[in-house]
Amino acid sequence: MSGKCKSYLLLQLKRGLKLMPQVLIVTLLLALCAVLAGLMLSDLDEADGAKQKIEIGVVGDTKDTYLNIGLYALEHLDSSRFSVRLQTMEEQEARTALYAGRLTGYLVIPEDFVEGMVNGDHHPITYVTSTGATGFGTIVAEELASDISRLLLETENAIYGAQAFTRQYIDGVDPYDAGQALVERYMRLVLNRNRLFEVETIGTADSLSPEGYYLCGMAVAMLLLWGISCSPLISRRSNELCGILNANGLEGAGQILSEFAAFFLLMLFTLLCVMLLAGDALWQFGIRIPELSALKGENRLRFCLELIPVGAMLSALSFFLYELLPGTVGGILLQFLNAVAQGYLAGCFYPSSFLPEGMRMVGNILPAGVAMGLLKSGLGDRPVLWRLLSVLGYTILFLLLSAAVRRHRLRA
Amino acid sequence: MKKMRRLLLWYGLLTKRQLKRPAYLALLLLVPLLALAVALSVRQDSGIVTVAVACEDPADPVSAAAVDRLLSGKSVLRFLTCAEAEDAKNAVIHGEADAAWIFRADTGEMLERYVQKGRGTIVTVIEREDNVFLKLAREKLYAAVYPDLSYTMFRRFLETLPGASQLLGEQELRGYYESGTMDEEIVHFAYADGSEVQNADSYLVAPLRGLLSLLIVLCGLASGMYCFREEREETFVWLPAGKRRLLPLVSHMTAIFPVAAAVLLALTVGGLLANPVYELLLMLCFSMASAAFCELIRSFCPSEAQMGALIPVLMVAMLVLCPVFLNFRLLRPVQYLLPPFYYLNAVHSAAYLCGMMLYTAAAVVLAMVFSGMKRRRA
Amino acid sequence: MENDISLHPGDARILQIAKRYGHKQVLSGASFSAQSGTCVGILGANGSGKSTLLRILAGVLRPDGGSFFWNGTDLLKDRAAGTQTVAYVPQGTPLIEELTALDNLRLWYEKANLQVSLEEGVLRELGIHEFLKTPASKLSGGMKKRLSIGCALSKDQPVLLLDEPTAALDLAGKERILRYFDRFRSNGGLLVIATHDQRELELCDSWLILRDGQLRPYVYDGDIRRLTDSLGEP
Repeated sequence: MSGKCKSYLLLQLKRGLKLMPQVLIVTLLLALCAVLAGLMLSDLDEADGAKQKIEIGVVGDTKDTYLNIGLYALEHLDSSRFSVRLQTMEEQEARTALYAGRLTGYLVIPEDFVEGMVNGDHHPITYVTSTGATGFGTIVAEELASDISRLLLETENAIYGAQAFTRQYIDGVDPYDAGQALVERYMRLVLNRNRLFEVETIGTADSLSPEGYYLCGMAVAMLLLWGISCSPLISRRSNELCGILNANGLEGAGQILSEFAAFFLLMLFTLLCVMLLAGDALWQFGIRIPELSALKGENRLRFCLELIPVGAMLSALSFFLYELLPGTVGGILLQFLNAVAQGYLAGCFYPSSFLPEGMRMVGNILPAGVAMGLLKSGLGDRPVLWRLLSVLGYTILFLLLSAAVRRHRLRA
Repeated sequence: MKKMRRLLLWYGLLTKRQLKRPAYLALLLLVPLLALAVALSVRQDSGIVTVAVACEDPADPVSAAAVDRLLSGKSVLRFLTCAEAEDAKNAVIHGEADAAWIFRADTGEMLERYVQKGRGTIVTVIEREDNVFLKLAREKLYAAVYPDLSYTMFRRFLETLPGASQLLGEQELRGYYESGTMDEEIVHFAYADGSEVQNADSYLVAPLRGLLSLLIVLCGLASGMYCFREEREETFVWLPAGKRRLLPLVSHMTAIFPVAAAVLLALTVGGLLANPVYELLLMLCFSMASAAFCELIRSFCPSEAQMGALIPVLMVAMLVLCPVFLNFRLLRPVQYLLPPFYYLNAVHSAAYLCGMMLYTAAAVVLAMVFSGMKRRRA
Repeated sequence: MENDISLHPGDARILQIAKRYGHKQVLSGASFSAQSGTCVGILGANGSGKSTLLRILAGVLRPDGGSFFWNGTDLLKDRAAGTQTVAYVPQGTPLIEELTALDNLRLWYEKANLQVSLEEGVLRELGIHEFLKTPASKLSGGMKKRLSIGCALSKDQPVLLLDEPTAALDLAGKERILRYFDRFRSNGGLLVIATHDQRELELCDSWLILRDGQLRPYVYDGDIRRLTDSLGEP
């Protein structure tokens, strides 16, 4: 390394050191937000550690037996990890609780709901969902509700068909009793529905636990956003200094290497601090990552070490984006857009399996997607060599591009 | 009148300034294009889980009917139909599907056995490993099989009634079963303001509104950084002190309003715009709330560098705490401090809209107070 | 049309201006007086508080104490009067770079006044009509400074405060601006210039050295060495 390059590198390191406290605080706050998100996603109920509680209010006419049977069935769904707690209340109380976030939603059961169904005069139950825009949860819940509706309608057909038949043809049997008997059979049928399916787990799981997946996603998202906190270090306000350095023998490539080295070392130090503290925070909050618990100590270290090339690649990307758009404000906007777009396509927010094939393919080749691939492979204890090479390849590419942009700017 | 004209002139020129910044202009153009790209790409086949479906006997009427029910209509699940059971299993082994549902050849007989004896497998489910989405998907499988299961239960029950089995043929029994058939849903979804949930949205497009609202706030925060620079360079030194105090708010609005317009266009393109008039009002209020919030943050930060450092933390906090992807019910007091929380909840709730207006007023007052304190310290 | 500042003669009395930044007392009782139709030069070492003094007099910065009387009115208390009386041109060029020269002027001038000033007023004198459609970012240093002065004088103020106005300008640009200052003074305006520049010093009628927070009169005779000794260490 030439003397000029060394001096410039030392200068950049000094600048980085001055910014270290600020960047470290911001990085720790970002990590805290990520841990908080993980905590809210897991949201373990102390009473029933295996299930998430969904609080639903019930408003209106709940006197009918059939209806109570249905509500009982809803409250005791056993085939998912969600458990539902129903609370009877007045509508105003339910609305207030919904706004305050104490309820996920509430059911409004119209007057004489069951009687209306008997008379062919359908007054549907209304499920009042969030106050806000349609979200993922609403979409999934609505589809489930549609399926439940179908179950109830088919059951209703059977019960009223049986009652009508009994009324017409069978003497000595009360149609109401016949309906009741049929309802009991249906209850058993619904509660034991898993017997219809033979579930075979073939154990070729190369997918991670949800916790493991989101650990990777949040690590990548955090590294994508980390570049914003470093804007004072690398966003350039004028080209004069670069021009002077160039005239004094330190060309664009040397400048880029020195600046990036300082940027990278800053990222490394803050990453190390975050790894140490975040690991402890996850433990304190009771968030367990099964893959990390399962891995031996040296493999846990390997996962942490894999974060380094990922950090290097994403810092190189941030660096390149700042080089493209040197202004501080424009740089920040571009960093955020890049973080959100890549984070979305790479599966940091939604699992990538949720995305259409085309989007998944694009996401897999983007830097964030390559980073996710490396971290997921590492956590899943699978070979990582070619992924590592991809990460390193991207890192070198971004540095080369940054040098090219700098050279072009110096010549202009 | 003259003052209004001067105000409009200033607003126009400051907006013109924004539009001459390449990064800002690029943002205005990119936002609707990205929304269009997302809206187009979600037309492709996608699902929260991919299920390979096969029938051991394609001629079996029960399995054929069940598969037909699975494949018809919109769903958050994605289905791959396979000709052979082996193909479906291989799809799971090779990672092309999360699960395989293989309907057995004797589905009808198995249903009878299940109804009579309480056991009888009709579908072999093959998974790599179980998870909550696959468990929820099996509810859909059950709903697809249920009509035939329910009819079988109905028929078997009637046969137990004294004298019933001699009475009716299959067609008449069907008639009794279907006599009460309704096409309506028993449960329908509504928002807090009473409007119906129009589930034309894909879950992929659903977070678009939230993400774009964050972008609006980010533009306001970026404008705040420009304001620091302008203070340092004394760009508006000739403005009287009183008017200079209001200038940052006006600057934020010039940065935010064009982006808000682009976001409204993006929401239209993405198919997320509900009531245009209400949405326009909502966006106007949100823009002002964001401007007030950004000015409050700016008045709180001593310098441009500190504000720049705070930006990623604020953005991540909003991403997590505001209902962008999921609606968390924790840290409500912090949620109340963030403008996107009000905006996203106000889409179907006028109460949150009123809350947002109160929030805006409070934020403006606090921003003025903090700015005054900062000026006195200087 | 000549600049009509001559219709508003006045006398300026700056009394006991004080300002502290943290533990550092930058100004401690700076005082001076001046009449219309004169030019006062304020000299001082770097960091002595020249810019601070000008910013206080312009009403940009709040002092810890002191007054600025113009014809009996304390302009530091009566901000409206201060805006109508004092024009201030800071050291940089406080222009909106993305906008054209004309758009920058439109921010500060009333429409009618702008037209008049471009045809026969201060803007014409400064030659700004030559580059109205050019974006500020593409103007030379001299053009930017002339435009800044033009923006500052949007209300035909009789007092013009300038902080190193011709620093970093080429000779032609410098001369043009200094000629304008001379005319401004001749028309009855009061110029107060914080300066290190010899040509600007030669323009002034009186000089003050700002040192240790206070202003002391100085007679500039062209002897730079004597001046340097008087300024002291920064």
